[in-house]
Amino acid sequence: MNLRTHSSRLIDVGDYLKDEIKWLLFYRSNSPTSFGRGDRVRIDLSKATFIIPFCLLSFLAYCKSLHQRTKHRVTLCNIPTNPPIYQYMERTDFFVLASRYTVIDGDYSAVTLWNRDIASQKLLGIVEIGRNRIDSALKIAQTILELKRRYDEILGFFERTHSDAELFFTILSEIAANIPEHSKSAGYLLVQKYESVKKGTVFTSVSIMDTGVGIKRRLREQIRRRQKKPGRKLVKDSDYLEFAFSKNATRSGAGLHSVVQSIGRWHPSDTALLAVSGKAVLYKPQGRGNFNFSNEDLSFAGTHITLWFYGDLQT
Amino acid sequence: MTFDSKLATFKENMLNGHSKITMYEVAKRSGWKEPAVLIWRDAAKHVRPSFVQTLYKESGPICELDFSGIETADGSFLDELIVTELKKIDQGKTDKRFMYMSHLNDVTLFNADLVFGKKRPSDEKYYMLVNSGGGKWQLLCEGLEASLKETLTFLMAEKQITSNDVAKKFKLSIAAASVRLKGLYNLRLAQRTEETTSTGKEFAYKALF
Repeated sequence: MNLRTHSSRLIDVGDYLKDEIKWLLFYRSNSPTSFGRGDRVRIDLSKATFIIPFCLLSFLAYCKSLHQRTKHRVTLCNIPTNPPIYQYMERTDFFVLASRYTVIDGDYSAVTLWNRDIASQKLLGIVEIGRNRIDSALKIAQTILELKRRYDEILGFFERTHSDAELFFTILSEIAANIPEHSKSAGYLLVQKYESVKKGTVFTSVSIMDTGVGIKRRLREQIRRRQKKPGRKLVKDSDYLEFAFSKNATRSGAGLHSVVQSIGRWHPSDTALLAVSGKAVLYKPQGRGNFNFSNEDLSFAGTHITLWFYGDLQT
Repeated sequence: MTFDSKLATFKENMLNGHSKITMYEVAKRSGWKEPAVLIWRDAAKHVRPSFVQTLYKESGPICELDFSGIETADGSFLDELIVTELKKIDQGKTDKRFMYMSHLNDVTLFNADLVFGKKRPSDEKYYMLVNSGGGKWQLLCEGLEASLKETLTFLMAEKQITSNDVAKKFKLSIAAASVRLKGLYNLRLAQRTEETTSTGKEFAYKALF
């Protein structure tokens, strides 16, 4: 819901941050491009009950885009503390990374924050990947080592069923490499493990996103410069996304294609993948689903890839 | 390692033609702060000067690329560092080096398999031998002709052979056997030395490990 009052706008994000599709639809109808220089934006989070990594990263990028458009920092207000939305955002370092683009309206000094060492070991805070390639490579290398150090807590369930679970780190590295190499923009990474005692399931979600030029624009440039040969005419956004994940799009057999290869090594029911860029969506559901490419009525700037790794909760 | 022991190792390497390049040390020497994690082309470009220095100035022609201590090496890194160097060697831009890889963990082996197995423009192929330990070996990159493959298997078992040996083993003419062995040499899968025998000079082909 938007209320236009002169140059001040209030955006109610409702409870859209708990669902990828709902968030993307919200993003479309409240696109940063619909804001202009000088607009003052307040975002009301009062109805939020849960935030998933995909949406948290996207929300961070959304605030950044709004700031770039309006040249004013976005005001975040009515952030719930019960459910612990504020605590979760603080634990992921959202506020630290968003401090350049947002201000918080309200006093949260009395809120008891999550203990970083014990209570919230199941997540790795947001890692910012900058445009400097060497620094970014080093940061991802350090992230990989940190994840390995905390492997039992975050991914141990996966290792018990797969001897080659280490491929997880290759996937993470290859997807993250796309940010400084192609997006021409900064990006973010977030890893989070969820457990459902009720369902007896456990899964870890890895989200990586950037706010860059998107896969279509990037590949178009490379095809024009003849660095890539698609072998067929690419028209829709989804054609470009499909090509980006194909064997022909890589110089070395690595890149996004190796993500597909790595996933293929696991039992398909243990992984799911969602990639969004522009209007294109790639979804590989949990189970024996194929990689489905489609065009949706979206306008997602940059590229966002999320992977889920599933296992059984050991009791 | 003292200077004297380094010099001694260097001399020994040059004499027997076999060197071990520890990738962890190469990365560390380049200033890469996380030498156990080798990822991205950018890191490979950072490590390259140290790798090139070790490969051409401190090593003999046969180089074992030892990946002990490497937790993850991704495809982009391996392509940028190793395949780029193999290209230069094949194009005659640098001294010939016969590289093979050892002590790869599962994930690095998987990534290397993808990189060396990649179909490249103009049918360029970059074969790479992997010492799997316990006398076992593996060839990365498919498509090696069956005749060359059986000759390579023979060579890896015998460690050193000549055209005569191949001719006898596979019932070939000496010329055909020579073509096979030269093929392996050109693909950097066998090292050769000229040896003088009672019947004249001939090439002896050595397995890389």
